[in-house]
Amino acid sequence: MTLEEIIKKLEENNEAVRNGGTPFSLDELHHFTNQLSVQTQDSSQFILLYSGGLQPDGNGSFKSDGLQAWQVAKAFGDNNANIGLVDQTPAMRLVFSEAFDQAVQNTAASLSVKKQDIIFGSIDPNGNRIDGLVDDISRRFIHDNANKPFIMLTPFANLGSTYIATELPEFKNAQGADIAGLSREIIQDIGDEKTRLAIAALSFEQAANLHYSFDSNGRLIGVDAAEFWGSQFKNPENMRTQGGVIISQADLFEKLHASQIEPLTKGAEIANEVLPEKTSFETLERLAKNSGLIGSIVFGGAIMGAAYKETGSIAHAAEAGGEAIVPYGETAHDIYNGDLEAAQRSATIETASNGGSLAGASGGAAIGTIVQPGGGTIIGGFFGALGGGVLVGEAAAFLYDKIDDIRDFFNHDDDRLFERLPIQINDTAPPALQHLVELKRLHVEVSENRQSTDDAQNKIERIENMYDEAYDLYSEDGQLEEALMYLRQTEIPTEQPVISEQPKLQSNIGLHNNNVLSP
Amino acid sequence: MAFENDYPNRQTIDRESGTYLKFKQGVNQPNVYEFSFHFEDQQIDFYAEETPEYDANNQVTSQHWTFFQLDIPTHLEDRKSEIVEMISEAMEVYGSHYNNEQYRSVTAVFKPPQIP
Repeated sequence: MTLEEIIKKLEENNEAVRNGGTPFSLDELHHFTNQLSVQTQDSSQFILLYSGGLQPDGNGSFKSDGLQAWQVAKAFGDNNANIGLVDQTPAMRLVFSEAFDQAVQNTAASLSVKKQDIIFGSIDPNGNRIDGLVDDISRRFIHDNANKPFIMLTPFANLGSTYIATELPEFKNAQGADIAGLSREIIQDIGDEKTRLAIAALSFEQAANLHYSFDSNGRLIGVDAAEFWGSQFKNPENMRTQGGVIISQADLFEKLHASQIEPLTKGAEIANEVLPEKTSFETLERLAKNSGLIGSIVFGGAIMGAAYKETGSIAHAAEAGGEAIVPYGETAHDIYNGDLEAAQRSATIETASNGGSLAGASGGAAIGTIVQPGGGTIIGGFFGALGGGVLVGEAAAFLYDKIDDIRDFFNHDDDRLFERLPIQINDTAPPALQHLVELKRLHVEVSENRQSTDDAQNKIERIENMYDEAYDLYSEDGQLEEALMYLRQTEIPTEQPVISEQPKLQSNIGLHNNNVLSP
Repeated sequence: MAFENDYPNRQTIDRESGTYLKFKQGVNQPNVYEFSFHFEDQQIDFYAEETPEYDANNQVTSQHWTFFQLDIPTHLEDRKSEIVEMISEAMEVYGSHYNNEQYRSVTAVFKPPQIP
């Protein structure tokens, strides 16, 4: 039967059902779709698969009323004979027809099921997917068009979508042309999950080249895809782009949440592991720098992984990683350059309201502990805050590599610490810092109020000994680094006037109370 | 306007003005369909998403339509609110497949422009 013949049959049955007749069974509906071809038009040179949303709301989800991949794909399909879509196949045109939709509605009512479940599938109470009519069509579509390259617009496909549930697993079941540049051999080798992630990242990068034209009614009136297709598929689009507002997909991606970037960065890593040539993920890289700390360091890890694989040099990898996270509000750049003071300042601003920082602190603390048992916790936590807690191998190596620089910086700084210490500090400061400040205050007080040279000198020496002991203790247990960080954060002036009020005679620190001198 | 369903001709029509609504096709997205609204010899295409309400037996009791992306010709742009009102009215009469009598209620609202 042809498409037209089936539609006529459906219309007759729909009319009969209106007059009390019996609707088609589910098997009969399947039978109709199975009779029709899933081939795209003869002129199509490649297949475009699409799924999911394209307009993030910045909160880890996509606008339900925002731009969807199907809208863009439809614009392509309506304007370019070289593009093959499942929409164009006779089987899918049947599903889209009014007569079929009504027939499914009738069948659904007779079976007490939902119409859309019959068409697009559903999830049973045990969480298992029940295929719909479109799943069968899509499975055949992937198989029967395997000889054509597939280009993907699926950066954020839902896990329950037809694409992920049905089409993607089908890629490995047939030999054929590449999928988003991945060969069938690679796909069979890495499996469905890695394929999904890699394709998402590759698709994301390609989608960033799209530009849309919207009219004043918010209607998508054109897609400028000049930079979207690979050079092998370039051809005139003849799409309407005049008037209205031009929006680039890359700009839409600016609102991605870090949690949305994370799987993409994993996908980029996978892609660069399996593709014969290193792929540039410029858009993802840029977004990773700007959209959140998690993405930043993870993507840095991806870049580093690629660089390490390419050169075998951890130094080169670290450099690449540093470059990858550079524009991240300069924080990472500051870190990379060993300018902790600047990094800390900018990180304080950038990490505001960033939930990932808290999670990252623990991950970073673990790194710090590895690098410097006990004492590295603060540094690790600091890096963890930057890293968002997802510290993959190369990223850890990068951090490890930079720890020496950071420690050098601290050590250099320590020599000047006594001079830089204030002589008063609030009680929210780290206990170690309060203790050192107290010793500094006593030192200043005795020095400036000396009445007996010998007595004063003895006191000064004892204070200095106390300071040295405290300094060594805090260096060993890590509290010194915490104190230094706090000191920078509060930017306490190094020159303080001598306080005129009666100095405290006993530290309130507790830990070293027994060592505090009485004036 | 006084729209009514004309099932044999698959249209929801206001016979006095000749204004009518037609189902065009589905798209590859659950619950979304393409319609056309024919007004003063102009065809205005748009998408509409249905949100059915079901009873315990998965029978649709009410239908809610949200329509968007109106393709209004430039010369009718200043009559947009009037057109939106007419489409809302027509969709509520349309129901589903030119039959709103099977539902307890049918509503239709326009979703304002969502330029990214």
